[in-house]
Amino acid sequence: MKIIFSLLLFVCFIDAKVVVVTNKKSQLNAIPKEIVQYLYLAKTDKVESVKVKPILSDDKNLHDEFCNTILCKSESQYNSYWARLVFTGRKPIAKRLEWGEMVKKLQEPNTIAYIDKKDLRKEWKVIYEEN
Amino acid sequence: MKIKRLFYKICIFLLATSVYSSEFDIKTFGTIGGVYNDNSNYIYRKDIFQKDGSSDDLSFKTDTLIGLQTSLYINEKFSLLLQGIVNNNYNDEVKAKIDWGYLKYDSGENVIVKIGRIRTPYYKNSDNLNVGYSNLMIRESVEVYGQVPFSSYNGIEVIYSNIIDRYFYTLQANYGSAELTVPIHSLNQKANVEVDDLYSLNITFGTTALQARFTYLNADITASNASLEQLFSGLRAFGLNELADKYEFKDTSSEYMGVGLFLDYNNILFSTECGHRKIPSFFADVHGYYATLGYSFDKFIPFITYAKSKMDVPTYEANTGVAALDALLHAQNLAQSSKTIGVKYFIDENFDLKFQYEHVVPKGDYGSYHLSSLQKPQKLNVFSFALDFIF
Repeated sequence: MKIIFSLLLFVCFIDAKVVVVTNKKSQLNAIPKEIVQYLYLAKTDKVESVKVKPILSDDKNLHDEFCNTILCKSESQYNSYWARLVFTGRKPIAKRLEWGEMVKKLQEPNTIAYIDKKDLRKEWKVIYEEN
Repeated sequence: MKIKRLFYKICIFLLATSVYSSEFDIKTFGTIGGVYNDNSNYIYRKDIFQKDGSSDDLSFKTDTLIGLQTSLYINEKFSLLLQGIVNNNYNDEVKAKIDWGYLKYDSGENVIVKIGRIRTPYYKNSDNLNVGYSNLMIRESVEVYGQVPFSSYNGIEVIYSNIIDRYFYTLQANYGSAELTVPIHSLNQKANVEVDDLYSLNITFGTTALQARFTYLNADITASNASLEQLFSGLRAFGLNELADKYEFKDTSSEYMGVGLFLDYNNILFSTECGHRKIPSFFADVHGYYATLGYSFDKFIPFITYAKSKMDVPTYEANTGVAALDALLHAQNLAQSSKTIGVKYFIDENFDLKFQYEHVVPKGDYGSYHLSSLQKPQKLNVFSFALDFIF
């Protein structure tokens, strides 16, 4: 019983609640999951005529959780997909940013990022949250 | 030739200016791969552009390659990209070649235009065939991917992408020409191939989980060498104009049609492509398909594949009454089927490791994509491994 409780606690601890956020001044409001996927898989860079800049986190656990729950891809599938885009000249590989850099970038309107919900700041709004 | 010279000038310009540019990016990719084919009567090859491969021995020539990609971002909209590879070629020499390179315009408004040397978009993975890390299998099914023996052309490509409701679509149009040398190994010959007025249209639509793709290509193609010219002028000299018209590969209006369906949903991977090459000449019409099913267990992705290709009219049954023409037709037989089982292991963001077993069954006399001097076909068991990397 003790072991099960410890495992559950551990799972709760490592399982970040990933949300997609943007600056409150942004023109973007709630966007569907499919559109978040298209933005992060470089199928589009616009939402209703608004040019969007998606940024990536260098937090590996957060990034993997984002890939699994929101992009519905394993780490290996995500990497293979991006290798295909980069080595066919379609897109340059996006740099993964540290927390401080992400906070700075999110000051720009229409920039979006995935974060752990507990790190949400008052100047940001959630535009996608997994149910 | 003018296009070729212009292309090389662009490449030199790219390399020269890139040294001074802060927006210069250089990346490498490659594969170290070994293949063992247990049938000593066949030389197992990746495609017809290879001469050597595995014949009851371990060969590192089939899949091993190293590639380099340079990108020069001139401004937000314009960039110059160049990709070259080093691998074993059809003269059994390890040589470097420029695979593609172009000036790219990205409007930032759904439109991309490329001008230069561009990959011919026959198949879903035409663009990234050499980038093993981006693919599930060590090599794509030759029954589909081996149908058309040229991979790049000089010209223009226009891509338009957009979203309707929750679905995306991409329209891709291409126009250009190509010149290349195609080996006819079984006759120990090479053919000079000219591809003119190449145009194509691709449509891809779906979601990130499920996508469908349609391809149509058309080109006027001529294949010639001294032996072919002698053969067809000889037929005409003997009044066999009908045979010469039927089989001569000269300004032949050629087509390729393909359709594909791709699923990547909840760790289930499924892909299938069907292709049909129509070249009314000795080069003969062929159609084929493959279906691959995989499942992603985090870092391990096991998969199985079944593939088959068939000649529209079996060339191995050709009996025209002209021995030299019959020999040429027999050499075109690409009918075969194959079953593959394998696994891809994702090591990290830079490496993966793959193993696969392939059972190949050539059909019809003188057949198979793999080199053999046998008339009657035999089965092949092929074991492969590969380490792919990107940096």
